[in-house]
Amino acid sequence: MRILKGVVTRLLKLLAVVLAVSFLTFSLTKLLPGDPIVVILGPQSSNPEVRAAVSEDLGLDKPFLVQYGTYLKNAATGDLGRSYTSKFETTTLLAQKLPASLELMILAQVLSLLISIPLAMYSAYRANSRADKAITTTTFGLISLPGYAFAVFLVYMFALQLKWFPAVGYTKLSTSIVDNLRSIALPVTVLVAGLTAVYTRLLRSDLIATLQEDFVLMARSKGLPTWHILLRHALRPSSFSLLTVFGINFGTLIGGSVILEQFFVIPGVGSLAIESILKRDYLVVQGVVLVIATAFVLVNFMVDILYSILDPRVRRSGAA
Amino acid sequence: MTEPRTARRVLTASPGREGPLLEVDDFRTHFDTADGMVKAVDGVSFSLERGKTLGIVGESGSGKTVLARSIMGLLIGSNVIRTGSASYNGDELVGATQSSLRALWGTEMAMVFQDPMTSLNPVMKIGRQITEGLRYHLDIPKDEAQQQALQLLDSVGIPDAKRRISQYPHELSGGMRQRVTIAIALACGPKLLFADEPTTALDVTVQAQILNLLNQQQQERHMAMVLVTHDLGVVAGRTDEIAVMYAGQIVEKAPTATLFAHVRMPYTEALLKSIPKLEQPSHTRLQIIGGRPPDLINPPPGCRFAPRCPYAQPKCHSEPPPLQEAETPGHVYRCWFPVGTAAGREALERNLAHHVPAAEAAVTGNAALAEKVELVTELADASGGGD
Amino acid sequence: MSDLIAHADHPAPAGTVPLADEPVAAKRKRGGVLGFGGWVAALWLLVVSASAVLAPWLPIDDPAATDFTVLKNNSAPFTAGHLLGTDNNGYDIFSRMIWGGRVSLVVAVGVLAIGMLVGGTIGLLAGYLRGKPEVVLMATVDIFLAFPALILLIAIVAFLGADLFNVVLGISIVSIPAFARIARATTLTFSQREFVLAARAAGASKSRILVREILPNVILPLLAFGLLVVGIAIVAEGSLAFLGLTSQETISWGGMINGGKRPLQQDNIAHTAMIPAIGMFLTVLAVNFLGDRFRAAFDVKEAAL
Repeated sequence: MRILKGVVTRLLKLLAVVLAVSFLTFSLTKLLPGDPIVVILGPQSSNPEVRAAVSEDLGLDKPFLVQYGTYLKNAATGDLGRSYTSKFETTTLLAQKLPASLELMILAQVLSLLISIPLAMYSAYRANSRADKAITTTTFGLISLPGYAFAVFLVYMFALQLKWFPAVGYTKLSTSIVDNLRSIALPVTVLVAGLTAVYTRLLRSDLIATLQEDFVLMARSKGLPTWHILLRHALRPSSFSLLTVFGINFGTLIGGSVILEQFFVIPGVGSLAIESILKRDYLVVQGVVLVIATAFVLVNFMVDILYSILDPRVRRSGAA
Repeated sequence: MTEPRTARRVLTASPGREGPLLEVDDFRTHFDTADGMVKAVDGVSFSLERGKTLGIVGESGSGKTVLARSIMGLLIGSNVIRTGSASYNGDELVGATQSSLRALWGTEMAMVFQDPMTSLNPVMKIGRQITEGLRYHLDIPKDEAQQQALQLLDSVGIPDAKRRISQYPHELSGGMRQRVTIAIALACGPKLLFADEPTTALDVTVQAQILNLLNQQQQERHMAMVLVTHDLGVVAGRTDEIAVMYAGQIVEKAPTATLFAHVRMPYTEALLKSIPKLEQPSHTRLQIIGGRPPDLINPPPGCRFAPRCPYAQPKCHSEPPPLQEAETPGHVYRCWFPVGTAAGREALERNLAHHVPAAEAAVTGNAALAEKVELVTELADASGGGD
Repeated sequence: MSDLIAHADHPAPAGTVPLADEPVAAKRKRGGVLGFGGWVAALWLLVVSASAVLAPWLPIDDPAATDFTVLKNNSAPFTAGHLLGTDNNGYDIFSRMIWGGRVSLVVAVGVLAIGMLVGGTIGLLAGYLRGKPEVVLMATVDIFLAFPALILLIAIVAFLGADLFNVVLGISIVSIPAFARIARATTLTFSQREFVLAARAAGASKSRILVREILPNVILPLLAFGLLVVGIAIVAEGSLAFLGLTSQETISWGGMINGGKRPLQQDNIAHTAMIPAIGMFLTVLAVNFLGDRFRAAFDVKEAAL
């Protein structure tokens, strides 16, 4: 029962964060320059009657809090409003753009984990060896490499010189799996490079610290083989930092791949956000921010749960 | 008891061989550090037979923990240099590869560590920590291993083993955790057990229980045991032989009763005197040994205890005393002016006459004088250490 | 990805390898605290900063003057008197690199200053005062952290106008939460230490303890962290330029990469984009390297951000 109460409290706190974020966004869009009515009506906006009519229709004449309340009510039922410029429903737009972003993000995260965990284990096991130094240096270089700089290099080498992958464009999964994979190969590579570097360094660092612990010495004195100790004794207690950043990145990546989406011309959520911001399409901006914040908060909630599964000492105290 | 069948290649040891199980001869462990060569263990020799217990007593810094771990071969690193000989059942441990040593660990020799809170994996269930060794070495299926684990927990005196086996270390008390580490160490039936300060981290009330448990298990399994501690009270009455270590060397070694009855080395005497006794009147000042252990990179020339010794004479500061035999067989010690001999008594009187701080402190138990000894040892460090 | 913050490095103790089957030799480090690499990094940064500051007086080409003597634009490096070639407007790339360094320098210094000042203060107060102030401050910080940083940054710059000042402001705002968290974590560590208790026992007032005992100890690890943020800030500025969100007159490395996009994708010409990319990479690498050295020197353990 106590565990359940802890879970519910945590959920409520997270909900509060999402609400706060959406409120903040909402307020910002109201306070900032740029009149949505002008955006919608264009030249007709100088006509006061038309303005009044549109204003009333969109509910823009109501007091601030009422507008926010209406927004929330609609959002709860899945109605995030309609884009001022494109006349599509926000939810439709999001549904169009999410698949590409999700594909990029999930592929990048999974691949990074698959590479970084064994790499970090080997690196920690052979700490200070030449192989480890090479790995550490490479990862250090990769985290200093800006994504778009690397993208430039990749496009030059693999798209233009070798012609293995297209330089720009995105093919939907439903159209052709092979073409889809080819179109995202380069952006995913850029993401994987950065993510793997960070994850490897995090895990390696924590593993080396764990390997100094007494219980590892005890496990060795039992005659257990090295891989067994690495995998079964050292990995679990060392995974917390990795898990934390992994969770944070789910939030960061949805929006953060904006640069890559622009460079490789991939229709994703990040691009949607930018375009909407530039076009002063506030409702869409709000919708995007809401979705991202919710995803971020949900993922971190699951990460918290994972903490308590991985470390039984955390379970007792409820919240970390 | 199950006869351990090691599933891996083992050093060619023939079970039931004649003679001592563990023979250590001029064993040294040096660490090559940026500040110099730390001679943590500097020439230790002893032998141990099955079913016998050797107590190794010394202050922190005496090298006793390093000794236990480096005999087993647990210390790795490019700066660890082991020389001399340590042979287990005829097989030489010094110079053996990690993989061949691993074949011995768990099945032939095992270690119980000092702090059970840190030596147990905090995120792994107790049962699993016992069964993983069983399953790896004996190659038995999961439920059989589980059964054996339950039996082990029973035999080390953990009540309600069925419930405990699925618990985590933090759910047990300190004493129970140490019982678990003992169970883990004994799981695969080793013939040699190193107990490194097994009771130091525990409450006093629990200490006796754990020590009794160790003795009992040792007898039942006919194991050889090395009991490392800083507390002479721990080894009294529980060991067959005691070796006193100081600054990386054995300074006195004797069968237990002999050591307490016929102590020869002044350091041992000082250790004995520092044990508070019930017969003493209340408010008796505790005897302390003034000064600090010497620098292990540049130990003083001559006897390493000399700067703190009440009996020290000029010869002691320049010539290191060798291990000599005393009257009782099996009793060796390192001292030019041993306790209980005429030479020793004269040396002490001479020192008292000259108001040597160490002598006065030892005789009167005066703490302020003991501080003076501290200064003396610092000077010895600074000058006596080479250049 | 450039907006992910690197974790503190944990070097294995010299000479010992926890699990290797045979011992692995440890190399001794050269060059003291900074190390050989650290000095190289510092030197590079010095060169970049110095040339940036002195740019108006250096004997280099006008970065905004088309060179009509060159046969075509986008000429390769080492041709026709242009050390690094020209870009698609005929401008000299070498000189633009130096001028672009000015923007990076301003961003670096500005973000470091504002971030440390504002974020550091917030974290310091939160960590020292505890109780309600801490809850309020950190809750605000956490909310900002839940915002996708890049989008927030883009929004700020898009709405306020795309000049250098707003760019610096935007990046600072986005980095303040991280500074606040680190400052708070460090303050918490130090305020538990004995010398603070001793000061309190001696009757020192809260603010005096804060300023004289805790602040000096928090500044150094914060600075070490700040160097990492500088690297990220430089990249972030580049990202904005890359998206076209900077003013047209400012020359920045990000903008140069952006300008090099078309020659790359259409004409197969790489150097226009590659050169600023490499320049940015080397500079961020140097900053990260130095930050790493500093952090190793102060032994800061970062709590989960």
